[in-house]
Amino acid sequence: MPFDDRLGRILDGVAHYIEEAPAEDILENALLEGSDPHQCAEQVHNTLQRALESHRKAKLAEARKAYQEQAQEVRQLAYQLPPSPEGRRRLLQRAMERESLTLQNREFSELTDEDVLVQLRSLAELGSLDDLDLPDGDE
Amino acid sequence: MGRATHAEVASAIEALAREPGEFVRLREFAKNRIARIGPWAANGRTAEELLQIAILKVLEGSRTWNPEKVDLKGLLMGAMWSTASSWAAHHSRNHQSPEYALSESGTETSASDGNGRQAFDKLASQSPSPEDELIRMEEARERSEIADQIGEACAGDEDALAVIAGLEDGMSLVEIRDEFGWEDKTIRAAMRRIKRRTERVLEGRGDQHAVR
Repeated sequence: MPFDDRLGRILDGVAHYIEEAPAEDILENALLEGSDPHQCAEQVHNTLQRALESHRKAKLAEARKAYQEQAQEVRQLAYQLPPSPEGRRRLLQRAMERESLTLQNREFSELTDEDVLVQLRSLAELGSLDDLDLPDGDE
Repeated sequence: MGRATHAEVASAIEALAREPGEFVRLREFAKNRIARIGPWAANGRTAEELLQIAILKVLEGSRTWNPEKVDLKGLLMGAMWSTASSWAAHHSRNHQSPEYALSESGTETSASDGNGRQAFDKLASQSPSPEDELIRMEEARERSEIADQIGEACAGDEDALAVIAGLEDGMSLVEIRDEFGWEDKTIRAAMRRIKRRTERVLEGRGDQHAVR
């Protein structure tokens, strides 16, 4: 700690006393110093609550922004994808065949529409959908 | 050990609220840390702000928490100690090293030849300016004066004077207690008096030194 001087050492000693003293001593000191310990405790409580609230709002705003960015990405991508879930499923099958990726028929049919979308997004990011014709009727 | 969740912190705060003495302790500790670094390094920041920054550090994860080893109160006091300490270090470096002050102000740059260079190389002096030196000396003089006043405020209180002498020599409270063969309650009572008198001295020096 800078200012390792006489005042600094006295105040560090006081800090250690504050840290270790029994709570009754702390309350009694506050009374002797003319402050209302309950009012003071309430102020500290409010300070901590306000910090909690501002942090919660900041996190919410952060999550909302991330969600909006992701939604925007999906919207942009969705524009290039077949509009129907069946069309997207056919496109995925075609892309996988081209990439020599295979899935058992049962595994493929178990993919949810959301899974298909996620897979297509990953393939699109890898460029694996480039130059791949959309299935008939989905263009 | 890791980042505390919002819910964990909120629930620890409510647990602390059941013991009002602990909230008062946090406020006293924050005031003490602001007084410790002095009005120059605190730069207008209050005890309440120090406490807010400490809790935000915990919530944001820059201060990790192992609830099995330390409670929220201990964690906050640790965070306040290190935060105040870093403010003081920053202030001290600004005054002792103009080079640091320049880099902190974002004016530092690298030359195209790859050799680091200060933006105002030709203008910046490598040693503290006479004004910085004067501020530093004034600060040291005031701090020494406050320490003298605390001693004077304890005149006639032998235990308190013995504790102050021990602290000034760099002894811990435990070492002082053991040195004099005191019981815990004796050193605690002396510290209570020292704390109260220290606060009176600081308040008596006017707004600049009063701890909010």
